[in-house]
Amino acid sequence: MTNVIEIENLNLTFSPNTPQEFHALKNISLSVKEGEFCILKGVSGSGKSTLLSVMGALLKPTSGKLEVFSSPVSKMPDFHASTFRREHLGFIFQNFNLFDEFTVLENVQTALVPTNAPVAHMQTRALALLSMVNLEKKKDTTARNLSGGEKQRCAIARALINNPKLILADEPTANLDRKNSENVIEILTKLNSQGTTVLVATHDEIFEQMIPDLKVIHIKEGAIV
Amino acid sequence: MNFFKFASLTLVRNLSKNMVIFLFFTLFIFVASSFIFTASSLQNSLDDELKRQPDILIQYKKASRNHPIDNGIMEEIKEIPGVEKVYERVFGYYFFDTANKYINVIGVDFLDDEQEKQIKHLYKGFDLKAFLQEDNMLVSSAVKKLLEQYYYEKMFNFIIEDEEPKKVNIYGVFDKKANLFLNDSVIMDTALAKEILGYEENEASEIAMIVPNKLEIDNIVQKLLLITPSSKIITKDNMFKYSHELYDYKGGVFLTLFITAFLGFLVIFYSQASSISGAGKKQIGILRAIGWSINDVIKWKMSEAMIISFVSFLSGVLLSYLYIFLFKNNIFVSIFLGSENVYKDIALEPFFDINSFVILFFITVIPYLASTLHPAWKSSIADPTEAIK
Repeated sequence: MTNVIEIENLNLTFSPNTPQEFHALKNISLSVKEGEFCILKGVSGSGKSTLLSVMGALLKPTSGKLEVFSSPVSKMPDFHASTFRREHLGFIFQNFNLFDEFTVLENVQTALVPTNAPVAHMQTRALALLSMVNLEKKKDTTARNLSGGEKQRCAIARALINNPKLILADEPTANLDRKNSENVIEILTKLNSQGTTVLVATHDEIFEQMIPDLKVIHIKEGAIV
Repeated sequence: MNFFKFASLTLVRNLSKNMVIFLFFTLFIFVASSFIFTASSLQNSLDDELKRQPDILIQYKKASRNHPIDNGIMEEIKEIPGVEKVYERVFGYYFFDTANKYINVIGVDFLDDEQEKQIKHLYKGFDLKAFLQEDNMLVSSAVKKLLEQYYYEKMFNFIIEDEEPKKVNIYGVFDKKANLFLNDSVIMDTALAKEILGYEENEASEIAMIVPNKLEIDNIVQKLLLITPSSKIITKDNMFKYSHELYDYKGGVFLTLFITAFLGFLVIFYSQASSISGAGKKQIGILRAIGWSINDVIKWKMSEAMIISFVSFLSGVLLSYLYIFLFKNNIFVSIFLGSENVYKDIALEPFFDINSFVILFFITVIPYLASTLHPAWKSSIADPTEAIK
């Protein structure tokens, strides 16, 4: 199996050469293979989210090699990095990060706005995903009126709108109760079984309890341990 | 969903903040449009009226003041080649002392076909025979209202020389469309006007002439100066120039004030838009994380600015059109025309000067869009990881 993510000796330093200098990521080397379900495990402040942001081409590393789907995403200019993110990655956040005043259907379609895709295509795709996450009946409900579990399922549908091959999820169950956490993990597992690579930053034990073939990467104080 | 749909949704999301900008912008456009509508309508009506005026006027000035001119020179003027028609015009202010107001008395030669035609245009169903049988006058609606306040319902007594009252019947009220020029006026036969204004039979306020070949006007002016060297000669070109200078001056003063105020608005808007709120950073972070580029964020922010500025522009123009052309005596007419000695009863004729609105668009909407560009770029390059913390 080919590597979806390949990182070698990656470092990230904030405010270098100043009194506020902070080494967020230290000499990280890891790889994630196609079709794997991985978790980045560590306590708060260990650098999980930062590493996820670097992998998602939202932050540029100070040094080291980073390739996602064999593309040097950290060296890409903004336009190409954005297009890469849109076409290959799906982001899921701890706080859902939906647009509260938008309906569920509008939220899911948001990622497609820059693509100038036909409205009918956007709707069909969004409705299919809402059906998959069992939210089609709430398509016209505004996001602020959803429960926590529904918000996260809506966010998952949004992350999947471009049919990504890699899902990056940052603490997706942190704000959910046990039942809703199980629902989210079931959806992620189902996607993984269909070939999507999933990488989750979490400190929640539930992933290890529910997923038998889980790859766990431990991170502590910005370094892989 | 495209950028415009998305922008309209996010505008609704921040309704209170955007509503303030919309209202300010609309107010600016409303004020500017009202001024443009008023100025262009007045100018257009004035130009129309000036087109109907004679080609040359001769007035007699004494110590810079108008004095009656001897109409005997008309015979001499008729002999000038190129002059098609010469006639006298009589007008002057009559002081209505009880009301402490001035009434503009205008004498018209009703036997002149051209002048009779103009009167018939001002007063539908005008019966010349009945009008000339007695001392009659046509009055403006404003003068009618003024006279009625003093119980002159059907007639008015002009006090002429030796304190003698001269009774003149009110024949009717002429069309309000003429009020822009004749708001404080009454129209009567020339001989009657002369009697009321204290003119001798051989005196007139001015001598008017029609010159069909406009290229001859300068030559004729030179010849007129030989006939009557101390007179003031006014050509139609002079009349146009004077009216345009007057309104351009007032419009220029206003535009300077308006642009200053608008720049102030832009500075305030720019400083607000430049400081990105926490919620704004988060929104942009989410969008960047799900695949929006910096360009996409700028397109979205520019779409928001376009929606606000276009809708405000159209709303301001539409509201001002309704205000100026549906409501009489709007404040902008008073700014242009100043206060008059009688009640103003002026309804402006709708006129849309497309060039002025194109200029207004370019001095408001374009600077607004430009002032949005930098904050949009600045917010789009903000750290997108804010969203996923």
